[in-house]
Amino acid sequence: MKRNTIATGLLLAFIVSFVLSGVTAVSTAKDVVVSTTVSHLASVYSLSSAAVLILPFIMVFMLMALLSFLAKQKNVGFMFTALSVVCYVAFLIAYCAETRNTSMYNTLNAMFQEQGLRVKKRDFFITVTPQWTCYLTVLLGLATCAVSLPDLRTSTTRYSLKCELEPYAYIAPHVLFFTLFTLVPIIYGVYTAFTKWDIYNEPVFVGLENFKTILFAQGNTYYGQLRNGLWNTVKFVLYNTPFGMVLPLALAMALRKVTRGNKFLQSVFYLPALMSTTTVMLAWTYFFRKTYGFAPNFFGTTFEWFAPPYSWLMLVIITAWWSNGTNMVIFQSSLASIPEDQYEAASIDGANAVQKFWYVTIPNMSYTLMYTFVTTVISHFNVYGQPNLMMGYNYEGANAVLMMYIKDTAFQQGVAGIASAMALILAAVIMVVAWIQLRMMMKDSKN
Amino acid sequence: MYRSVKESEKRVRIICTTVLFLFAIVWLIPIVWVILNSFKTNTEFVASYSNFNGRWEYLKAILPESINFGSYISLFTGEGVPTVANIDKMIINSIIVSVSQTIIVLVITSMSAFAYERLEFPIGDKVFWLLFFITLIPGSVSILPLFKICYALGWVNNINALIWPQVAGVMNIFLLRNFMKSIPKEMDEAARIDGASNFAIYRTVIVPSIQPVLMVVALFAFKAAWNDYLWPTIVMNEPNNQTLTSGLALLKGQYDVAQWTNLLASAVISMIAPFLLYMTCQKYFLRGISVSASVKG
Amino acid sequence: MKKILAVLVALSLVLSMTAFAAAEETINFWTVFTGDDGATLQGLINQFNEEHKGSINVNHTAIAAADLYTKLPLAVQTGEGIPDLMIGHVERLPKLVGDGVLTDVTYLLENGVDAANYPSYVLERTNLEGYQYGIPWDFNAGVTYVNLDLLAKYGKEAVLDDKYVTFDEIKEVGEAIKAAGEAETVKAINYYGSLNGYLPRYEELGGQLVDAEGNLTIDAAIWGKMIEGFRELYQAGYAVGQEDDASSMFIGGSLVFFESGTWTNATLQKIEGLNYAAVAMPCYSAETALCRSGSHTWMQPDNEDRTEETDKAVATFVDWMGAHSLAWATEAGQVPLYKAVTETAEFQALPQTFLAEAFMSDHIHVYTYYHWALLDSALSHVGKTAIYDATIDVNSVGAAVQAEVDDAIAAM
Repeated sequence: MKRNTIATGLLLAFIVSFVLSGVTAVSTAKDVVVSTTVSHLASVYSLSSAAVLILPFIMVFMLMALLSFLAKQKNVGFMFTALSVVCYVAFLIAYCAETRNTSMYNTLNAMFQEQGLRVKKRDFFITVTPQWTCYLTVLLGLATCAVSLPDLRTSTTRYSLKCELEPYAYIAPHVLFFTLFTLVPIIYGVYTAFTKWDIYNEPVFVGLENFKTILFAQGNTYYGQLRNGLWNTVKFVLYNTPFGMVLPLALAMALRKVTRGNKFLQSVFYLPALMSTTTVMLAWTYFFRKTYGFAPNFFGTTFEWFAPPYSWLMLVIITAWWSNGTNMVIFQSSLASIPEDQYEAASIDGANAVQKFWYVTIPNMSYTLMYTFVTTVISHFNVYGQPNLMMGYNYEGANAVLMMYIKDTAFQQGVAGIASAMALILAAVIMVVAWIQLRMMMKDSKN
Repeated sequence: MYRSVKESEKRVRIICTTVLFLFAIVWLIPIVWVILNSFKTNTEFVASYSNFNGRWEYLKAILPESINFGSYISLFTGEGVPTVANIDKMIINSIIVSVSQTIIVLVITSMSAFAYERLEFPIGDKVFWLLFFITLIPGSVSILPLFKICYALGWVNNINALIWPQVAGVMNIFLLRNFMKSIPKEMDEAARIDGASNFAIYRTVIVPSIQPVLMVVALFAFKAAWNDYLWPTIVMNEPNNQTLTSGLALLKGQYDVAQWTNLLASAVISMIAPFLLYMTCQKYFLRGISVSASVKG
Repeated sequence: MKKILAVLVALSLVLSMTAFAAAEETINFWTVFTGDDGATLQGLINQFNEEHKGSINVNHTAIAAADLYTKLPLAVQTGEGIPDLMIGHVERLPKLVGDGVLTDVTYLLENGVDAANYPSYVLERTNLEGYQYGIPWDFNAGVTYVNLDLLAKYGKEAVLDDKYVTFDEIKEVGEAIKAAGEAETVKAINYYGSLNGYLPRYEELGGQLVDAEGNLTIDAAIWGKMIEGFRELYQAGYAVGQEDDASSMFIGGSLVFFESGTWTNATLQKIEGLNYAAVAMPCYSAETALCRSGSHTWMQPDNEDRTEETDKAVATFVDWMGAHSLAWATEAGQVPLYKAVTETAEFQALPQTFLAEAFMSDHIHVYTYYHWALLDSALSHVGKTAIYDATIDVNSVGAAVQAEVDDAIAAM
């Protein structure tokens, strides 16, 4: 146990040293020498080269090591510390081998210009050397490893070590991809919510200003957009989720009763789920247009489908049609795994169809229902394609959902800070809703 | 009593079948409309809807005079389409990307789900839920940083940028975990007593038991990869490197006027591949998801 | 002996080809033409590559406008994959220059491209702080197409006597349709909306879009008056509704005046049996008539690594394209601006030529505004519905657009 505490302490020192470390960049042109120091965190921020992308992994490994030591998992902590030291050394070697490092180019170029020198990019060479703090970091890392070295003397300890570490090998590929392609962009994106950013230049930190604008500045465009967008999104979720759960379940159950033509019906009802957003929107826009659409001309409707309140009906029809397939096959898988004898036992007890459904089907499907409920709600919160391609901002944004405003603000207008802030608020709402749903269903299934 | 139960079962079956068939016909209307109209020429399209009275003439108006493949051919020859784009190249790109992603996703999600669900390690569950909640943040905040990362890796205009960034989804792991919960742990124990390693348990016990769900995950992954039209337009510069769905989205051009049948033809083409995949996989996952056709009665 | 000669000849051919290959300049060329007109442009480029085989090879990539203006600054910022030449919209130019994305084209103008070949008014538009940043390729104007058969049916051919269609004349046509009892199925006009539809009318009524410092100044009262006029026509039943497909109505013979742009010409030309003409966008009176035009402009992104040889090749290409831009008019239905081309008889005979004349008499304005993207976005959010919805106060629309742009600038 004492070794654990020492290891934790050394690890903390390792982390602190890493945060404080940096590299020195030196560039020479025409006998003028300029240099600057760049901390590792600043390098990550620039996302400039492949070597820099090793840094997020190092940080994740260090975090996992810390968590492991705190959870008294010494061997696991050793593994992560070792990984982070190896990656750090690799990073230093790779980073210092680059001669045309774009992240430092701007600062050094500015320094040259101060001295009245204009250096062309192709004549620009930068030498990068680690500072003394880097070497200290490596030493501290190695020390942590030495302290937490696992016991390899007997085969039993080796075997138990293998058991401890093996699970990490299974989840490693996914987590590594996740770190680089999901975690880092999201953290970067979340950070931009606290900045003013026009995408091309560096973000400028402004603290909570964006949130103050969209949450409290009455009369501001973005305040209105957040409210309108969020309210429309909530409406979309409320209108569509029931159909998104009930219809697939009904179809899944009904399909079990069909013997002839089962394959055909299955394909028909699943088919829309195979289509992409643009295809679906194309098909349904044509369906509802007055000039040549099926709905106005065959069913003889005279009202305007694209205007509220009928536009909501249109969205419900389209969404139910499109998303039915996904949930339907999941429900079918789940229904197939319910043992027949439970139904037989219920019949013997004199249960009718409704009771069988309620007391046999539903409890057996509880995990599946939980999964589909959560994912359906989440995907409905993220809706973008249907309202955007069908109604746009017509009728004073009656169907404009929040994702539309977020995308417009970020990409069309170039006000990415506000867009990220709005996205964070949407994320917060989704997380709260998902958490409530999961709590409710976990409690139910425990009963 | 036995006979009347059988009869009532039969009645239920007939009612269900009839209702479902009728519903299926209505269900198919938008798709059938698109397919039929894609066989018209643009002039014919406008002309056919210019004068008709009432719903039955409308139905007649939908039918093309003759099956004209003009709109489809123009997609391949480049008439009305930017001639720098080749649909055959786009189809190949789509296939490469979708198949690669599907395989990668199947391997890493099944391994991860197995680890989270069956192997004991303390931080595992917490890590999973952390990942889950992180993915709830809408993707639009992360598109541009992701683009910068791909730039840093040198992947801009490179097909790798379409394959790797999208494999790290968490929902599929969630799905697989839920299904694994229904596989009794005794099977694991039995195998372990026989001396099987974890990997052997994974290979011989778990994977066969979740085959239907794996099929579902494969289909979802393929579909997601095939239908993604936003990311390829951002990370690929040349139309030649686009996938089919994003390339056809570009077809709409700056100002899309009077090209209805071309658009409809492009919609039909982008439906074909996922549909073909579905048809080939159908019997595999029908086995898993439907009751062995004997209806008890 | 013959064999040795043959081998020697073959060898020298191969060697000379590699020599040529080594000396060939590649130009990476980005444009916004992803549609029908892109095909025409590619045809011209192929012709150029043929004629200049071995010395210059142009590599054309068409990128959708929204993506282009995101990718270009990113490319310049990271220094990777910067194109050597591009064609973009003139209204985006000021912001691109302000962000340091573009470099001035002075080198091109001194090494192969003659400024005298282009209208000076348009050149002025891309001259910022004394440096020239763009060379015009074409006019990209709002245009109204007229279904001549339909117009004759209601006996209103006289409307086209002067080159301008006024709103009063449209009202007359609408009334004629009503008198013939076909007001349900046939409409007189659609509203293109967006900047083509709003800006010139707003200015015609006396409004000023941008003040001397380059700030947006929308006069809500004048804007309201303009919306009021549109609403009148709609409520009288002469205008197409928001959701209807105006282009199919026009081609199908149930719309008389079709507000659109020069880019639609390429597709309309292909429709058999459609007898149509093109005039300027409807105005309030022929004297004050104004039309909005954009311009596709040649621009060069800032790239220090680009060599002089590449720049020379670019200049050759730009000049060649200008001289051969007749096809742009005949096939793509657009309006090229190269003087020698616009003076040919073939060009004069095309329906869209009236734009060149109108432009000469100051009836066409090319607008640029630094925050064009914001204005575009604001109009798409709040601009349209007041025309179709009588419960919305017309005077609030202009103010809402102004407020949205101001808020966006404050948040930038």
